Amino acid sequence: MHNRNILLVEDNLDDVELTLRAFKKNNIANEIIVVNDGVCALDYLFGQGKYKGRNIEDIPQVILLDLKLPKLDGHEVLRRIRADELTRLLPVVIMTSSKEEQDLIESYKNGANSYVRKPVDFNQFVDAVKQLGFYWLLLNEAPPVEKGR
Amino acid sequence: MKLKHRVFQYLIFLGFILPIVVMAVFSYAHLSRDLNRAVFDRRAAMAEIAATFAKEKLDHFVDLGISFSSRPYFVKFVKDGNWKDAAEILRNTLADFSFIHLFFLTDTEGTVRAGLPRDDELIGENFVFRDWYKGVSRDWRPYVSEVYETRYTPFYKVVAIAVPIKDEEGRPIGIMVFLVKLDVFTQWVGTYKFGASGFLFIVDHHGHIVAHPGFPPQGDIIDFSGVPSVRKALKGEEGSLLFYNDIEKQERLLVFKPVPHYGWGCVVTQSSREAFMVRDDTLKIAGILYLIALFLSSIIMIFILRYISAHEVTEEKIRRLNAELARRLVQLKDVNKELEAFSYSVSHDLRAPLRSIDGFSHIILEEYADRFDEKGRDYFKRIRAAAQHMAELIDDLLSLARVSRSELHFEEVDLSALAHKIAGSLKERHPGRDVEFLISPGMTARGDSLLLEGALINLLENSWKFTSKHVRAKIEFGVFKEKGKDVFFVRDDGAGFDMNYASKLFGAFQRLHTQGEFPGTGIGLVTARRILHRHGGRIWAEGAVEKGATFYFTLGG
Repeated sequence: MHNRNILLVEDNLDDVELTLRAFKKNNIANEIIVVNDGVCALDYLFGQGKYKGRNIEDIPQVILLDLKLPKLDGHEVLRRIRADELTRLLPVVIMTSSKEEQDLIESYKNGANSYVRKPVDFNQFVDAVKQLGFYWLLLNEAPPVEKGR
Repeated sequence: MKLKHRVFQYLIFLGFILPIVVMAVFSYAHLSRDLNRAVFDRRAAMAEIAATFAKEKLDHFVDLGISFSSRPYFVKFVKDGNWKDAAEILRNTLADFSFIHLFFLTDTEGTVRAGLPRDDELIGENFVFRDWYKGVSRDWRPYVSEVYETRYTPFYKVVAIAVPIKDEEGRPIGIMVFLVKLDVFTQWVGTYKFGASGFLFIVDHHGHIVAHPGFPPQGDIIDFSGVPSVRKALKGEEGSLLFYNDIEKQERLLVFKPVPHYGWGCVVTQSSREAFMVRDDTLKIAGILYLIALFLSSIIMIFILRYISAHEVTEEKIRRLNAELARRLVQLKDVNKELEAFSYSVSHDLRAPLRSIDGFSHIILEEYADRFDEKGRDYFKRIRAAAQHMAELIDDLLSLARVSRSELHFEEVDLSALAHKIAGSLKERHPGRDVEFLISPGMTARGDSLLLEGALINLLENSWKFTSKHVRAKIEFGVFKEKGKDVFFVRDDGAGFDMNYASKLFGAFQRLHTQGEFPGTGIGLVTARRILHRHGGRIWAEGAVEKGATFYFTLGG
């Protein structure tokens, strides 16, 4: 169970690139699955659409979820994740540019585990990813995967 | 809208006034009719009394004649042809009745046999042509004659009362006649006067005047048979009519009545003006009263309508203003929503590219540093600095927007404690600076604690920044009273500013120093000012170049 995936939901390819680089810089070796919109994120988690046939019990260790996404926004994705038995305990970290209070409140209301604002300064960004990885991948005990849904 | 309102008002007005007008007209007409009837009734009653009285008078004459003519001795003498003695029997009795001017007895052929007082000329004269003979001989019943003139001087105008003398079997054996001078009637009619122009006159069955206060009793016999009221009375009708008298040049009210049994007529007459004077006066007063009432109620109604419409106009105005306000509020909400969407977009979308600029510049510096010379690397550093500065600008702008938008939650705020907290954090973040904070104890104010903290942070950070070029600095936060109000101040002994540019201190993005001298976005003081404005307070500054600056502020309420 040690090297479970990380699901990165991010539509901005620059941000994807920078995030991956930050992970790499921090020597985080977990496989990072990247999806670019909310629908794809749910498809991945629930093994539907282009992820049909995927073993859905292979649940990511943590999801890094942007809020502003095409098709289905981050809030809705989070709601669906929490609404499903399989994923309702899955740690979700909101990673967004927004510092708006309403986003914060909405995210925590929907059951986000963490809310991180992506800093503009790359050094700070790398630092943030490092701490995220440290906490969510090493320190935090992930909830057990509930089988036999 | 307004026209409709007007029309509506007129309708209400009419609806109110019309019934009053109708009522007034109706009751005026009613009153007029009643008064009119009263006038006619009064005159009719007078005519009735007069007619009754005239009948009684004539009855009295006739009764008298019957009582004379039915005395047994009298009848016996007449029967025996002893006319003289028959007349003598009545001499004494007749002396008591002064109204009897002349008295005589005739046989059934109308030839005078005896007379009282003795008038020898009369005896033997035949009067079959006289009205009284024709009347009495028709059915041998007492008869009252027309007005006529006697044949001898001084030609008295008289009325004759003729009574048949009958024997025991009821057969006529003679006629007893006595003449009554018209003076008797005229005298009586003369007492019957009312008002200035009211009087009564009596006509015989031919329409000749028996008694009329306007004519002397012994003047010419006057024929009134052509007068309409007389004509009607003689026909047995009773009633009243208005008649314009050409001689008097005025209208007269005439009430006529037949005298029962005798075929005479009574007419009560009065000038219309006088007869209807009371009526007309009363109606005049009533009319004036009604008009006054109408006028008053119209005025009252107009005032009521004015009042109501003024009220309505005010209400209408308030409604309009409310509607306008509601519309504005909706607009404002829309604008606010747009603003929120805008800030959201700014916060999210504007920062992402900056992150790319900064991130990739950093990667280039890291991975490809050897491919650039010092200058090239410096440019990348500048790119990164610019991106980070822009991120700061965005954040500050957003916080300014938030300050304007957020709801205020008022509470008692300990400003001294807040200032200490901020000072502590500044010292922690920038160790190595020698700055002395002088914060007055116990400063409190009513306001939103988060926003007030924001204002204080901006002011204290401002002072912290502009004292950074000095080795030692002093930042003071205190309060004094002016006109009963607390005036807070933040004073430093830093770079200060030129008072000529004081007005630029609180403008967004306005800066008095270059980025190189003192970094910053130019939004901090604007944010502080907006927070204080939202609390109903204000802020102003004093300063001089290199002499430090003082920011004063008040909080409303």
